[in-house]
This record gives sequence, structure tokens and C-alpha cells, in this order.
Amino acid sequence: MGLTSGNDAGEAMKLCVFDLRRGQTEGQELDKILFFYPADLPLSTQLSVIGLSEGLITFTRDLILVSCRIFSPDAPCEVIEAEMHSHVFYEAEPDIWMVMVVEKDKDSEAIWRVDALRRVLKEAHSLFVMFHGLVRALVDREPTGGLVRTHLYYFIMDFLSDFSMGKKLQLPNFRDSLKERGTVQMLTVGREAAIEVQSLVRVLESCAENTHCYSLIMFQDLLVSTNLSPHRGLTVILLIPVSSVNGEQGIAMVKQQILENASLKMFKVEEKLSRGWGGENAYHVSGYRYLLVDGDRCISRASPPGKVTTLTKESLVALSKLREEVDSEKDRDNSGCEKDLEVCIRAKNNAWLIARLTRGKELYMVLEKANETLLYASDAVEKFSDRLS
Amino acid sequence: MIGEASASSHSRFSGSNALSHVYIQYPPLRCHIPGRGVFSWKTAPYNPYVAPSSDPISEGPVLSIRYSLDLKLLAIQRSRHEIQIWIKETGDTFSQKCRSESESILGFFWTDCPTCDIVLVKTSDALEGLRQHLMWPSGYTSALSSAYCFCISRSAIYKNDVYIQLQECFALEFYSYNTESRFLRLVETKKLNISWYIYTHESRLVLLASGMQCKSFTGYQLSSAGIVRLPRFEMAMAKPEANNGPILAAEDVHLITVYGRIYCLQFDRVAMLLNLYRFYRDAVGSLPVYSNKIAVSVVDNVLLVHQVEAKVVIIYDIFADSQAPISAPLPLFLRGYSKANVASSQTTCKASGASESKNPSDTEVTIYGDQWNFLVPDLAISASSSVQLILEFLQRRRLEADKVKIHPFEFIYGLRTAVADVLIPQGKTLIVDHAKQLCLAIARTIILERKPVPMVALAIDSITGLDDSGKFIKQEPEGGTLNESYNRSNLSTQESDGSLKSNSHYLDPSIGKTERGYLLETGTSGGEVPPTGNDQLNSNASERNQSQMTASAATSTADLYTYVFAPVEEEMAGDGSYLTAIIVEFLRSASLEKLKVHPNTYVLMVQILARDERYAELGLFIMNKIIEPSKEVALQLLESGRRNLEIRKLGLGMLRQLSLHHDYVLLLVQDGHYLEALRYARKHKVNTVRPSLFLEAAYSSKDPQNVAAVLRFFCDFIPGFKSTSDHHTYHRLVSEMNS
Repeated sequence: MGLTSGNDAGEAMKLCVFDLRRGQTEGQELDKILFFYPADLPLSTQLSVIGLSEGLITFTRDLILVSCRIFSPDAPCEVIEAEMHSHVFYEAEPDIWMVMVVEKDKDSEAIWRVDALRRVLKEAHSLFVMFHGLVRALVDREPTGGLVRTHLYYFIMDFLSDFSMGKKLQLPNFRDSLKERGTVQMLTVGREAAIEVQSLVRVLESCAENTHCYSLIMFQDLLVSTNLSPHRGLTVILLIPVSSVNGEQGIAMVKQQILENASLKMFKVEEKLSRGWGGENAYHVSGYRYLLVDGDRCISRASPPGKVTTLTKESLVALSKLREEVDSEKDRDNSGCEKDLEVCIRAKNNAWLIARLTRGKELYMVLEKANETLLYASDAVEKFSDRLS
Repeated sequence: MIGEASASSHSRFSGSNALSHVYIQYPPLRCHIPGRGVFSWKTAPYNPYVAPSSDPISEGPVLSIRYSLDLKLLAIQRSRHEIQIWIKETGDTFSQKCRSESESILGFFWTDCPTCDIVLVKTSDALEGLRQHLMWPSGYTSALSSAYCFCISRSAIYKNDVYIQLQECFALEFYSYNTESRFLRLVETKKLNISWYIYTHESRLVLLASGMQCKSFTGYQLSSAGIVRLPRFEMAMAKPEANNGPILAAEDVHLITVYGRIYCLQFDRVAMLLNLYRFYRDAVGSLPVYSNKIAVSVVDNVLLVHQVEAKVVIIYDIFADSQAPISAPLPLFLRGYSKANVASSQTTCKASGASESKNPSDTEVTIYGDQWNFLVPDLAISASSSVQLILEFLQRRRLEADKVKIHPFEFIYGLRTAVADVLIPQGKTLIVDHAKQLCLAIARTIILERKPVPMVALAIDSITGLDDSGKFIKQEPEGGTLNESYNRSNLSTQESDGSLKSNSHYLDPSIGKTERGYLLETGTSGGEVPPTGNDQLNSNASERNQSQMTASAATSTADLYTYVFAPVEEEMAGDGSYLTAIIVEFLRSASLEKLKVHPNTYVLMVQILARDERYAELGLFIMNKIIEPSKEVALQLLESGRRNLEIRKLGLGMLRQLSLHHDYVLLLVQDGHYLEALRYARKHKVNTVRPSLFLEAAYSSKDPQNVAAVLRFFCDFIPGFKSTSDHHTYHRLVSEMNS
């Protein structure tokens, strides 16, 4: 585990976290850097990246003051597309910014969807907050910034190691257009099995006595049940507020209770789920390559990765572009009500690309071997939707 | 023939044999009286091989007989006017006679009170003779009285007979025994207007009933600490109908001593309740009764209520502050007789075949025979066969080890056996209803007591097997489930176990000797024990439930909602997760049994989860169809979704799923999604929603294009729309908006 901070062969990605409230006097600029990847980049380069970002943030903020119509008032600056780079901005906490700079290359794999990249930043931040609390709080606790820098360094380096492919970082690109970061895939279970699972959940909860506890049950990396909005999980996680459990002894007691009360039930549930489990291609729908996202519950369902790889690069790049459009369309409408839209596009390679947003649910679809007509594509979507709703 | 009967009954009883039962520890004691005299057996501890001690007494009638506490004296009531005292040491006797003919002795008892040794209860009753010749209807035991103090109860006029309830003048006479000069010296006389009295030695308490309904009580406790007068108190009695108050009979009041505390039990025949009172305390509560004849015993500080007609014992641990029984209604068995024998005797009893009951051994062991006479605390005497029985509830020790184990699943299961084997064949539908109601009441109680979920689950599991005719459709539980649950519940009881043990330290087994727990807590202010009429909420509720239940033949899952979940939710509002866990277990059990769950149960779940803001779980429950879709649930989701858009969406989704197109379109319009509503209405051919609703929604958006689009839609798809007033109105409005 871990990622070497060495920047061999010119790292294509830069990621920084900085605090706009720090280092505002000349000569103190370094103080605002809380994290920089790659860490061994010359300080002058780091400062120039942050300086550019800060300048853009301030500039767009001023613009907002002038006209609220051009830029969204909520996010002063979201992305800057330069010729060679994309700058993705995310204001994680007031005046705490995360910026990701990625190289662009139309001929290689480096075709990005900004929202997908921003979701990486969001995820990094929310996980950090889960473990260490707010960045601002850490900054305030130790004004020299040593504490927050140490925490951020070890945390983000570990987080990024999940993306490492050989020596390079593999960030979500157009090939991940039928994936949605920050959502989990759910296991579909029959009513009987679902009740068994819930019964198990209650037994687990009762092991924690009177403490309110959160539980998450996963099966084959698929979410079976939870009572919280999930991030990522193992097989059965029982999250109990530690403060309410009486130290080590209390935890041991809970463990013991689980072993004695719930293990048999767990075994039964697992058996039941295994019997009903259709394998990794269980959710493949032949003829369709799809992604269905339920934003309300942060869950998604998609064609299995093995099936998505059969799509051509053209289709995937086109889908990535379509999603980019849909993302900006979603951002543009800040009226609070949900966008309902449906887009069917015929790509150059004759594949149908479909995006459909209804009632907070998003459906993206690629039909490569589809009939010529739009009617056919639209019918196919209709059939698919009926099946899933 | 008997063999055949026993074979079948054996299998029928196998269900309850597998579980616990109350049994009489010793074989019945047969009296072969070798000659004249008083034979006595020590009952605690009882050894069947020890020969009785015998004391010779002189010839003459014996109305009653009691040894003094040190066993040195024997008092024999020889007539209504005379008590003879026999001094064991010397064999001498002397007599204590009433001073006048108008006095008669109703009873007497020995005491270890410092000021007196024996108490006589007397009545100065000129008409005492009459009492002996009058037959009073059962349940309306009425006393007849002296001339100088009486009143007539108008309400007691019954058919052509006039029952006169008269109050008598009783007297308690306290005597001390002078060992040297050997006579009884009158120490004190207390004159009282009372109707009857009861006394038990365990409590050292004499309870005196007075009033029209004999429900006002005073009492004296005569212990080694002295004489204590109890404050006067009233017992509650339900009225059968207006202006007709039943009269409480002495046989319906029982004094028991449990854990050193004295309780008074009163059998209310109208309400079919056994009310519990503890002195100096409020009424403790009431226990349901399932038989017109009951008896009580106390064994090992556990209260046994014999439901004589139903031939089962229900066991309570009053100290646990719970009115839920701690065990199943258990059949009573005699040790030393084969089960087949017992069973066949029951068969005999049921079939009432006259020819079979000729066999004397059969009649001897008839459980709860007519001749059985129960004596507190734990004796039953069968008069016909001169058999003395000692009841002991040996399960008690096991109960202390794992109390929950027997409770309450076995209870319901036991009740089920009783219902299927005894009550239904006998056509006792009222009692079947009672049984059903009892099951539900137990479920309610244990949920309110927040017993461990697996335990409650088992109880509910047993109830879901009960169909509306009262028959139990599920005969045997899965063996696996039973064992598993036993293991599980073992764990959860460890704690309560400990507390129980510490209790039993406090409960010195030699309770008879210690004065500690007695109600002579002289420091306590003797406030009156209030009547219980008002604070018996539970009993009132259950009464009400009962009448409703008999009226409607609902299914058992609906009953569970109506009589368990809904009332419990109301009462315990707040602990949603516990109740959710229980309902989940119920759904599990219902799903295994393929029983339909009443939609209200799901509605309740939605309410609880939404109230506790457990939206993620609610979403999951809906998505997995753990909460089955129905219009009721959808409407509840919409209602609960007022505060949460996701929940509202779940409700909308459910309406669509159920193809309730009209409601769905209406709600879409209400939420302002009139364009989507139009699309949907067209697709599903919904033409029941008024066009004006869509037009109003579009108009409120203040966008003339939208109004125009909606207008156009109706013009295209509703023939003749152009000539309606709606069209004219909105057509004009669009042009106004554009101008």
C-alpha cells in the first residue's frame, strides 16, 4: 500500500489542497499549501499552480458580484479548460479548496468528465472528514498547519493508492462512463430473503443493547442493507458510536454477543443470498449497456464491467461527452425541482446514446447493435425502464 | 376400551409432556385409619414414609379442629357453642362455652400474638339456625343475621324469591391460655358489623368483610409483634348490569403470602378477573381468569391459579411486577400414576361415561374433581376419597435458572394445547376467545416490558398460527426454531437470573418463622388501600378488546395489529426500533406461514420509520417489498413524505406500481408536475382528472407557453373541449398573459 511520492516520467495529475485564509501576506504564500501531490514538485511550481487557481477563484467570485446570471452563485469556479490541462475545482469547506489538474490528450485515454473527477475530490474529502473531522477544525487546532498537513498527507496518499495502476494513477476517464462514483450497487433480493436480512440486522442491533447503531450488510461487494447513506463496506460492518460503548471491554462484549446470537443467523442469511445470487453477470441485460443511478439513495446499478469493455472507444467517449452535457444541464437548473429530460443521440459509429432523467433517477444507456430508427431506441428505453421500475 | 382411550390421549398429551407441567410431587396419600383419633402428617417437608402421629380424642361431634402453634394443645369445636381444648402432655381437656344461647362460634384460630393465644370468631345471631337451612345461590353467598342490625338489598330480588342480605354482629374474642390454671382468659372483644371472615395462618391475618356487597374489608393481623388493625378498604367489583351489584363471597377471596408479602386475591366473577391487592399499597393489578371455578396455591413463592374448569394451572411470579404468567398454562399431573392413567381419567371425565367411573382408582386421581378442596398455601384435599394431595411445583428451580425459557412461548403453546384438546371439543367458545385474547395480551405485555426480541418473536410466532376460528393451525413448532431460541434466550436471561437469585436470598425459605417480610411494617402510614376501579386500565382495555373480538371474526394477523401493535405503539411511543424489530420478526413468521399481513401493519411501520427519520431503512423496506405495496401504504408514504421528498416519491412510485393511475396523475398535478402528468395521463388513458386542474397548475406557473401547451393538449385529445367554459376561460387568460 501507499504511493511513492516520486514523480517519475512527469506525473500527469496534480492534486492540491489549500486554505485561502492563510499566507495572504507576501513571502508567506507557502503557508496556504496544506497538501500537494506530487510532493516532490518544486515549491515554485506548486506555488504557481496554487497561485493560478487562487487567481481564477477570486476572478470568478468578482464576476459573480457583477452578474449572477453567467456563473452559478453557489460555486464561484468549477472548472477551467486550458489547452493542455483541465483544472477541476472543489470548495470542500469555506475557503478550503481542492484542485485537481489533469492533462488532456484526445488521442490517449486522457479524456475526462469533470463531474467524475470532482466526485473523486468530494469522496476524498468526505472520507477525510469521517476519520479526522473538518479540515478547518484541524487548521484551527494547530495554527502552524503541521497537524493538518500530516493528516492530509497520509490520508490522501493512501486514498490515491486505490487509483494506482502500475506506476501511474488511473483516474476515472471516459471508460468509466457507465459507473457512478459515490454510489453503491445494491443486491436485489426476494422479499423472503430481505426479511431474513432485516431480522439479522435487528439481532445485530440488539447486540449493541441500547446504543443506536448503524449497520451495513454487503454481499459480494453489493449492498444488501443499510440504515445509513453508504460510502464503502466490507462484509458486515457494525458501526457503533464508541463513546457509548464502555471501552475495550464493551466492544469485546458486543463481539461476544454477535458471535453467540447472530452468527447462526448470519450463516443462514449468507446461504440464502448465495443461493439466489446470479453471479457477477446477474444484472446484465442482453443488448443493453446501462447505468441507472438513484441519487436519492446513492445507489446505482450498471452493466457488469466485463460487458462494458465490449463497447467501442467511440461509443464510450461520446457517452462521456453526453454525460458532461447532462451534468452541466443539471447544474444550470438551480430551481430546486428535479430535472426531467430525455436525450437520444446517434453517434458517428451508429450507436444510440441515451440519457434519461426522471424523478431523481438517471439512466444512461448505449445501444450499439440497435436498429436505425429513433423510435426503436426510444421503445427500447421504455421497455428497459418498465422492467426496472 | 380404556386402553384404546389412553393410547389416543397419550399422543394428544405428548405435546404438553414435551414441555413442562405442574405435578403433584407425591403419590396421593390414602388414609387407612387404624382407629379413632386425630392423625396428622407433617406436610413441609413431607415424607410419605413417615407414619402419621396420632392423638386420641374423646367421642363426640367434631366441627373443626386445630393444633396450637407449639402443638401442645388441640382445639376441637364440638358444637356451635363449645370448643374443647385437649392438653397433649397430660391428656386433660377443658371446654370453652358461649355465655348465651344466642351466640355461636363461627370459627377459631391459634396465634403467637403476645397478648393472646386463641381467637374465637363469634356471632350473636338469634336466627343462626335459619342459616343452616337456607340454600343460597352460588356466587351470591349471603349471610343471614341478627335482628338488631340488618338491611335489605333491593337489588338482590331474584325471581320470586327474596334474598335478604343481612348484616350480623360479629365479635372477635381474644383469649390467652393460662398454662398453670389451664383455662382461657378473655383478653379483649372487638365487635364489628361484618358478613363473613377469612383467616390464614401464613398471613396471620383475619379479614372481615362488610357492606351490602361484602366488599368492604377490615382486618387484623395477629403476629408475635402484636395486633395490628388494617385500614378499611374496598374491593372493586364489576357490575353485571345496572343496579345489580353482586355480593362477594368468602370463597372468592384468598389470602396468600408470597415472598413474605401478603396479598389478597379477589375473584371478580363478572369481569372474570382475579384482582390482586397488597396491603398498604395500591391494587397490584388483575389477572385474567378462564374458569368459573378457580383455586389458588402458593408453592415456592410462585402463585398458581388453578383454572379448575379448564383443568390447567397458570403460574405467576407476582414479585416480578409482571402480570404476564411465567409459564404456559400447565396441566396438573399426579406423580406415581402413569400419564396414560391420568389421561384416561380425563377422558372419563370428559366423556362422563358413568360405567367407567365405577373404577375407584379412576375417580381417585381425577384431576380437579368436584370434591377437591384447596387449602392455602399448597394443599388440596379430595373429600370423596379421603386423599390428601400435596402440590409441589418442581419447575420452580428451573424457572429461576432461566425464567424466560418457559416464558412466553410455552405459555401460548400450552394454551394452544388446552384450546385444541379440551376447550374446542367441549364447545367452550367463550373460553377459546379468552384464550386468544390472553395470547394477544401476553404479546402486548412482553413488548411493553421490552423483553428480548427473539423471545417476543417466538410468542408472536405462536400467535400467527392461530386462525380466526380459534383453532391453531400450526400444531408443532419447528424443532430447530425452538432449540435455537432457547439458546438465544438463555443468554438474555442471565442478568434477570442474577437478580432473581438475590431475591431468593431475601426470601428466606423459613418464611413461616421470620417476621421480617410481614406487613407489620409499623412505620408505614396506614393509608387506605384505594379501590381499584379506576386504575385497572389494562383490564378495562382487555374487556373492551374482548367484546370487540367476539363481535368480529378477524384473522389473526389483523388481530395482532389491532390488539398488539397499534396499542403498544401508542403506549410506548418513542422506541421505534424495538417495535420495528418485532414487526420484522412478525413479518418473517407470517411470510413463512404464507399468511396475509393486514395493510395497517405496514402503515404502522411506515409511520414509525418516518417518525424516527429512518428514511434509508424505509426506502429499503419499500424497495425490497418487505412492506408490501398497497394503496393504504402509498397514502401513508405520501402523508409521511410531507417532510421528506424521497419518502413522498416512494409513495408516488407505489401508486404507479399499483396502477392507481387516477391518484397518481392527481398527485403529479398537485406537486406541479402537470406536464409529466399529462404525458402519463395520455399513456395510460386517464381521463378522470378534470382538465381545469391541469390548466390551473399551468396558469400558476405564469408562463403563457405552458398554459397554451396544456390547452392545446386538451383540444387535441378531448373531443368537444373547445366548446367548454374551461377552454374559453384559459384561452382568454393566455391572450391576456401575452399582451
